[in-house]
Amino acid sequence: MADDSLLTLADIEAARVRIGPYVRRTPVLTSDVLDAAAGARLYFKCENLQHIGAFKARGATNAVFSLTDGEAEKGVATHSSGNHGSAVARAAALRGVPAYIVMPKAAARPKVEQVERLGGRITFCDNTQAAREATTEKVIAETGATLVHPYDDRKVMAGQGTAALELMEDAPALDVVLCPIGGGGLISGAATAVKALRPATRFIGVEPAGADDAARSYAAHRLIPLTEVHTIADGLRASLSPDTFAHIEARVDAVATVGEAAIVEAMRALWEALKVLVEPSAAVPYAAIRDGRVDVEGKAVGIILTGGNVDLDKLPWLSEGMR
Amino acid sequence: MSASPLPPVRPISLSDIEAARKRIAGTILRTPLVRLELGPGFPDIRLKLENLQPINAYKLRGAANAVAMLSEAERARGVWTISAGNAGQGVAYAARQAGVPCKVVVIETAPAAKLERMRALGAELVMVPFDVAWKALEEHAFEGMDGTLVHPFDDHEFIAGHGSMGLEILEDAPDAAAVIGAVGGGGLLTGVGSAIKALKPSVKVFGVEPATAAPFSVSFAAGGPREFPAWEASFVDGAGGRSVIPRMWERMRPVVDGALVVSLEQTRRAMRLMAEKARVIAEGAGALALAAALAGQAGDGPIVAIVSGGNLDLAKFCELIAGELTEL
Repeated sequence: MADDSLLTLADIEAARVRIGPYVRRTPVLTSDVLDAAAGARLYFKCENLQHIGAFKARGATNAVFSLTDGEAEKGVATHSSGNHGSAVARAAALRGVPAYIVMPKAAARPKVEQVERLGGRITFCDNTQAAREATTEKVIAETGATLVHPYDDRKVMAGQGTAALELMEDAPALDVVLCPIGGGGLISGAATAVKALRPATRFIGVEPAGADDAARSYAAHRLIPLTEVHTIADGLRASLSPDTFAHIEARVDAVATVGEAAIVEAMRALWEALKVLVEPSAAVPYAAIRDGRVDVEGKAVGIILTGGNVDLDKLPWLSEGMR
Repeated sequence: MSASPLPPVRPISLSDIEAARKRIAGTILRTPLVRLELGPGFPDIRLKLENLQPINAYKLRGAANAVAMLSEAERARGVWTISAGNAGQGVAYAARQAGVPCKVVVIETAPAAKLERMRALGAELVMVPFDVAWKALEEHAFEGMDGTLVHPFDDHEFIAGHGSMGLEILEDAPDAAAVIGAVGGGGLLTGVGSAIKALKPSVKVFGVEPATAAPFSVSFAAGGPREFPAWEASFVDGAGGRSVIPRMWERMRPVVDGALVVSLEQTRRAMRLMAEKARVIAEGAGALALAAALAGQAGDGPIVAIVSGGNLDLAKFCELIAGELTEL
């Protein structure tokens, strides 16, 4: 795919204007403790402090507010067991239109309650990708709602990229930017923004070794979907789409992977040093630094902390004795 | 060794605070003010997240201001303070950033992690028993220290630095009806209260303490500085002293509208709620203001609850927030 068919900085700047009134400009935090441990200067963009506790509020809001009035009044639909469902429900409520959220019956109770609280109309389905997609198609056929895909949607990708625009403004000149890779929506938007503003900045994507489709696909120069997933990072279990893979190929300098123990250790270190909650998926880029998977010695490094939705009664380091 | 008489207390003026704000802008984080999304039926509460400062506490504001005001000669001699907690970290951090030597008088029983953090920030530590540290706090002097003392609360410029937070609060919450901050030494409340009363006196300013250590509340009721007779140690170690120091009473009284008290259980629940809804870690003192707001002690809002810090051991935090939130 030629470069001029990809997302542009102008798309991301337009998204920023569109979603400005509805999202938070999240802070960029620093820690002398983490800097000393890494031998680098680290700048953490705290999307865990975004509305609904994740960057997903950005992309969903951009998608919902990009619809014409005629499209919007029939509502929007998506399938999600996590943060994207909440983000779509919130954005639809802000626009005053219905949100149809398809969730697996096994979805975590707090996530279901959050979608309900935000006014989402939930349809439960079986816990397979096929069931989710079929149920969503059915809901769309019945309602005329517009699908807001969690990542394979240019408006969603552009919205997610606005987090990187703010990071580049609020941190000094960055040598490296790291973000996690799930379906690839965030990294497509963020790498587009970073490379347009400062081409010399290295952009590195990080994913769990147990969900490493991006690393395999990047190495092979062709899309290799996941067949098996094993990771605590529940936000990173999706496979890339052809479009997000095209953005990664064109705009990302390297893809690193990290193991499960490193993710949990990184999550705990971030809680201790920054005093913010991060979910396992959000700890993945810092895990790559801590585990020596990326070289950041002496550099200024931007890291997008993607979300902070965790079950406080099931923390991965809580032993039975502490419960 | 006899301490020289202390300069009389004077009000913290708006120009002192505005000048401080400019001086410290490159060192501190302009922290976010976020609405706590509790759903219908709850007061409008917004959290001023000072736990996100680089040292995870508001004390960096005052420390950065005091260090920035040193003359060349004073910079060369260095600064010292008395604290094993957030003030010590704040002064050490600000001094390191300014390239100024720093010594900290600490209580020898302070947690190792806090001492280690100050050493990593380049501070030289002097370990003393509690009584010796308390005497140094009261006398503003300690044998062998020859640099400039940055007192952890009774210092005009230190407090003016904290006042910068009040300016940010009024900018980000122009509709605020009340602001609540924890009372330990009284510096936070004096600084924030001075800014707010100068700009918008109709906004109520409340101090809050844990029920186990509430000398400000007792003093407020009595109309003068008092001791708290039944003082007990608790996980709320960053607020609630044994007494209100008369000079701090003189500073606080004109800019504070009321004294609030919350239980340790209410505080613990506020910590859990903040983790769930705002995704941040507050230390005990940092959760007092939210606990008071949730208990309806500061009216219907909009209420700004200052989350003063987040420095506590993670295992202790997890232990405190364990278990379901049954009721608010």
